[in-house]
Amino acid sequence: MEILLIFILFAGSIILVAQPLFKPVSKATKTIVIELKNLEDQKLALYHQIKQIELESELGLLTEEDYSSTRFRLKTEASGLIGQINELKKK
Amino acid sequence: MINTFATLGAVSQNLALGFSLLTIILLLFYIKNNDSRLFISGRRAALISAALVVIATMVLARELIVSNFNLEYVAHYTSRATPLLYKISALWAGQAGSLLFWVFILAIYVLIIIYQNWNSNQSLMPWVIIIVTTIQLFFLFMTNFITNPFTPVEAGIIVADGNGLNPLLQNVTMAIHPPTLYLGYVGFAIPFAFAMAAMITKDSSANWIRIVRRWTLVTWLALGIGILLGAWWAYQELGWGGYWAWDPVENASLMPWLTATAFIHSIIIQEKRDMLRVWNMVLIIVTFTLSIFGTFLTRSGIMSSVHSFATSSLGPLFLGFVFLILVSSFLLLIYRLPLMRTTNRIESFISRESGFLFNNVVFIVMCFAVFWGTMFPVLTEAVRGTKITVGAPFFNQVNIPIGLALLLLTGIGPLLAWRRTSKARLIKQFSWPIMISLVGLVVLLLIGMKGYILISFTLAIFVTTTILLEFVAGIMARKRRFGEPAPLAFWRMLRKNRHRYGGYIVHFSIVLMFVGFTGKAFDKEIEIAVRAGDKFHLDGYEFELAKISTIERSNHFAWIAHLRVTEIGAGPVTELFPEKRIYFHRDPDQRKRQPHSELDIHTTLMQDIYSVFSGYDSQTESASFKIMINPLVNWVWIGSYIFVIGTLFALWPQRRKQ
Repeated sequence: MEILLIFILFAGSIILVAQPLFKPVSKATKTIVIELKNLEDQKLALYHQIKQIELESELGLLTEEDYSSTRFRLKTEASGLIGQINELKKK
Repeated sequence: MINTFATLGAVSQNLALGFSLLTIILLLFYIKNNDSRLFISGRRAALISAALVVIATMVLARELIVSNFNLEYVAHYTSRATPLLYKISALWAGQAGSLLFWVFILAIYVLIIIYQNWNSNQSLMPWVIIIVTTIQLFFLFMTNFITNPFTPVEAGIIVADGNGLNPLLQNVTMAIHPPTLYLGYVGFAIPFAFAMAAMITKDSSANWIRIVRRWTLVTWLALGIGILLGAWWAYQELGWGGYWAWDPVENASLMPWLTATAFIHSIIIQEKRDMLRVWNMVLIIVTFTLSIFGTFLTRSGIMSSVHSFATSSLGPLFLGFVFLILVSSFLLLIYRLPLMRTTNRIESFISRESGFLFNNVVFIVMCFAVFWGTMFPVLTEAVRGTKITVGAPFFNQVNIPIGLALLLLTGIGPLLAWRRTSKARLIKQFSWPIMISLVGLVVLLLIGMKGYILISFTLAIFVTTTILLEFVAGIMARKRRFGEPAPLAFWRMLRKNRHRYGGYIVHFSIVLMFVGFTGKAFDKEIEIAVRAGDKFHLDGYEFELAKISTIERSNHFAWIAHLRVTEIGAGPVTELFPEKRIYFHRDPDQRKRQPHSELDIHTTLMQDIYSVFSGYDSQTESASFKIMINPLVNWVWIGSYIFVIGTLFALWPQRRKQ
């Protein structure tokens, strides 16, 4: 009984691990979906940062000059990401 | 002879080791060949390895619950009379079980990070999995070959009943304190793995920081709760009237928490200003190394401690592992230094960046002081052959001024602007807090406060004022911008800036804790032997021993004292029932019976009346007591609750509009 249990546990695990090795290489569409999700996440993180610097500017923790330059940098970065997202969506 | 379940546990543990190795091999091949099938396969091996660890741990828990004394571990740490909760907590009471429990938590974390990053961070994930699996491999090696929790009792021996759990561990707080501490210790493996993966893959951006920020906070919170629960347990259970003794094991948990706190602050600078890349790497390496070192201190037996419930010969292995982590991580960091350099510099001494940097320096100095004091006995023994113990006075003398400097920075930092703070802003931000603190200082001087007590209370006022003003400034900003009424502005301000205001709530909790710590300076105590009907006095209170009764419970016998407490000139205050217990009282072998004092405390916001029933002489019917009046101690625990609330608030996911 114990040997059977050990065998099932071992064989089951090995099959699960080995199974992907016998499949054809995954399609490119999945890579695109993953890439899109990454870019969307990065875009949302940038939007959040823009909101944060707005508050910091209101609280006087950023000078007007620093606020404008940081906002511009973040917005440029976000625009770049949006461009990449649109490119990927076309594919 | 062990049963099928125990065999399943032992085999799962063996297989987990094998699959951990397989994970590393497959993922290294994936990195070399870039064949996604190898990645999927390696990831599955990691998942299976983690699942097998979970199975092994569940099996050991089951064997403890059903009292399978055919296993050495079960027989050593439980008995039939051990209550169910403590049978479960015996899982982490001994060395072998606690190491398996360590891997169990890591396995759960591995499952979570793999799930969370199933479709993201694909460049980092192979290395992250390799690194956490290597850590897992080390612990599995120990539980398989050095200290195996599934080791059967010697052949031919039948154990009718086990030894039972140490009475000091038969406490609800102590049942949950180690798991929370371990959640913290183990959790730092994840940010460490991401940091190493970022360096290996030459990703010098703040991406890894964004990924691990939440993880680090969760881990930091868990370690913080673990430390506070340990303090609470020491206060409630050990009977010496304090909550922090600078014991080596306490220090072992405090050190990674201090460096992690520094890390949590300094990553903000990397996110905002792309500075301190190398410093953040150093901090996370040191934090994780200190976590392993903490486990080493607790489990190696190198230090004598009230918290060390297991001793062993694991020391050299742990030390070797710590050395390996430090050397390999720092070599990698040195190799990647050219990539980590940034052009941004601190522009002004009076800026938010330098505030954070000072805070970091102070945290590191404090950590080093604690490390030095903790390791000094070991070092002196190694060098001179005699152990020179460093006691609480050393730690207090060094850490009280450092702690007060930190408290001051808690107040100053948030008021400073990024890059530089103008003179006008300095005056605007600091005038009210300084004025209110000065008024507080004068009042405190008038009521006779001096020295560190005076500084601590004044700083508490200063920091509280700065935090309140930050909230007010936030509300005013929203009112100006959106025309919202104050309550709505307050609510939206909190909701939309959880990190910032959660952080301020945590800062406030630290202020409250400092108030509690300062109260320690006013402690009063008496140790006395009395008989029923006798009265004694302490600090304006009269204590009367009304009677002593006895009771027999499932796992111990107890004498219960009935103490009536009256405030002189004011009337009755409370009744206290401290107990003197004898665990394993039915054991015919007198040496196995273990005495234990279960204390009773009357708590108010201003002070605790703390009673310990130290001993009872049935011949003379004389009972010994230790009574303490501990002012303000409750603020340490109130601060602890607020610390948890603040961190959870900062952690709570923020809804982001698309």
